[in-house]
Amino acid sequence: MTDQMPIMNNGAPRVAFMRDAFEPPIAPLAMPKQVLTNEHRTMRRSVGAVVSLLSLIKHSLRRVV
Amino acid sequence: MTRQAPPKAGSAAYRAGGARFLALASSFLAAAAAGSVFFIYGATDGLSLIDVVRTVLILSSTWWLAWGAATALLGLTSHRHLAAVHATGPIRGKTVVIVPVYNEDPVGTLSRIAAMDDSVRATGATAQIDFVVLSDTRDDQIAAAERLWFGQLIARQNGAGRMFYRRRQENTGRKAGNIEELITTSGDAWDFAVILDADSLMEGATIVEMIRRIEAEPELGLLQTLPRVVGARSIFGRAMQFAAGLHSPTFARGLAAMQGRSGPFWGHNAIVRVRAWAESCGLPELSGRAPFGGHILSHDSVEAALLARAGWVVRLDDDLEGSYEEGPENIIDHAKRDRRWCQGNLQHTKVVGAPGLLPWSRFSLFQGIFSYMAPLIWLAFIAASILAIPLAGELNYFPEANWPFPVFPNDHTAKAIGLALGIFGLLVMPKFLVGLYAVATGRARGFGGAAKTLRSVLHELLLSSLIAPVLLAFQSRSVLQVLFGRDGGWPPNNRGDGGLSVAESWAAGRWISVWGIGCISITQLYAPVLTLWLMPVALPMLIAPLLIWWTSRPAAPGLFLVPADLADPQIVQRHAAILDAWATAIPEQKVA
Repeated sequence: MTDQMPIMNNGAPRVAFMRDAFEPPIAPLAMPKQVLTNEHRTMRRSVGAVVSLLSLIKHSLRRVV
Repeated sequence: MTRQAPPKAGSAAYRAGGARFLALASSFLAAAAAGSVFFIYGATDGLSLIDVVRTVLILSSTWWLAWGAATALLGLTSHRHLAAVHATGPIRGKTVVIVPVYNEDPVGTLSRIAAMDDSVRATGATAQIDFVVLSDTRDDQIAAAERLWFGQLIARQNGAGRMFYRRRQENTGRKAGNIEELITTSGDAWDFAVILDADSLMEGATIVEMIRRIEAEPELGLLQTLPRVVGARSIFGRAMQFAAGLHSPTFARGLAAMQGRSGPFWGHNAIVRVRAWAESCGLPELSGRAPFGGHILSHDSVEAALLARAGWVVRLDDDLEGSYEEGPENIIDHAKRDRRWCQGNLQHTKVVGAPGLLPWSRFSLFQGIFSYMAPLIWLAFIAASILAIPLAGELNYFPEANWPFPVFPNDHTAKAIGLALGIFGLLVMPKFLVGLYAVATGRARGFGGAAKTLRSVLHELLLSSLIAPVLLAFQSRSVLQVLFGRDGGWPPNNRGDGGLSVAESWAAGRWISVWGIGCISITQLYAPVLTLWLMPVALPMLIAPLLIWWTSRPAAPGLFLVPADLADPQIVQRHAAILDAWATAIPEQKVA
């Protein structure tokens, strides 16, 4: 019933149709793909923060002792 | 949208935080109590690794039961969620009612649209509300019938220019992909979208009220209704319909009390703000192969989490009436649907750690995952308990050297019986309380009166206890299949009368009988003292095909009454009348 032709619009893939009477109107809206995977950099940063906090405590303790 | 400031005392978010704390704390407390009682009981004859394993298993499964009970108790003690803003008058924005279909009966689906359009017309909002059928149907014969009957719908409703039909050549991304394709090609034509399933029915007044609410609250991204199950005929279907009618509103109210800004989305019978949806809900493919990778199957809870992450409010309004759906009529259809949900929920293990999700969204995703791990935890507990008997060894009554008197271990039998009763109470108490509450508040009148309601509560409890091991077996198989990498695909839903033959039931349930025989034999061989205790689980498994067949039979009249039996909702009546007229008009076109 429909011939699909991929076109690009603002980086988002769109599909244009050979219209027939029943088809919904053409009024495209961009729908960017969301990020769902954890960014390793964020995790590394959090781990780094914990490590630096621990070493800070260790150095302070050494000074006290 | 931006993130909100910390909640102020007395605000909705503050109350939600309190409700969450209460439910979580009480369920963890109950689990800790069960775990410690079991630990003391298990350590009577000396502590071993198997005791620790069993304690962890009983702790996790009790937490899950207690969490359900806490949600019900919150529902019983909370008020219905009422809209913050009471808007009246005409609606301004344009709305599209989306009906995705996939090899469904076109007559049934399109006659529902006709009924909803009639109902919308009665509100005077026809000019503001369009309908679009998004077909992912693979069967060309059904697709041809869809177009034919869509023409009939356009003619009957005078729907040219406001009713649309589109069939995709490739059903990439399944239902989520189908909707995404509409939004990317046509989304800017509408402000709001009511997302339905092929078997959904909504009163026009409900659709208009949802539009009013979302128009009145600019932060509201998604509004979910609580659909009531209608049209059930079989024993299984009517018991589910009764439970959904009587118990679900209470559980939903408990859920609503805790939702804050990150409420649930169940994939249908909800309205979304199209702009918010487009900005936030473009679902990527997950890395790796199915079942864990690829397109997201249970997209709804992910979409709810993504909307909340973007700062939009996602809310369940449990006071909205006039929202209906149909349910599975037999255990096989239920298990087929559950297989899909199982894979979808377990796939969320790849999503639950997504950056920026609200903590409650993560917890909701975790709940979905845990709901499918729970049966395996119960099975593991049963297996560990059987294993514990041969591993226990002989009791040593003379542990001290050179001490002539025997040392008897403490008797903790009373604690063990108390624990068993406590777990049983967590299972049945919420349903009984909801039944009693319905009697006390007069809500039971809608279910045939106090006596009939309590009788139905009791029957539903008995039936659900009887078929629980069968459902547990199906669910465990689904989880194992997913864990071993088997993709369940996308089987279409059966929406017929659901009656099964003995042969069909035997074919679908004989493997469960084999599991039952295996379970009894192993227990009898290694832990004969447990055989009798295992019977409530093993016997229903043994007769699984019989149960599957029997529960697909028509239910006795008068049992499991719901309000729709006493007075059919207007939209259901309207749909039945249109369906009759269409079936009579061109019966040979009907596609089952």
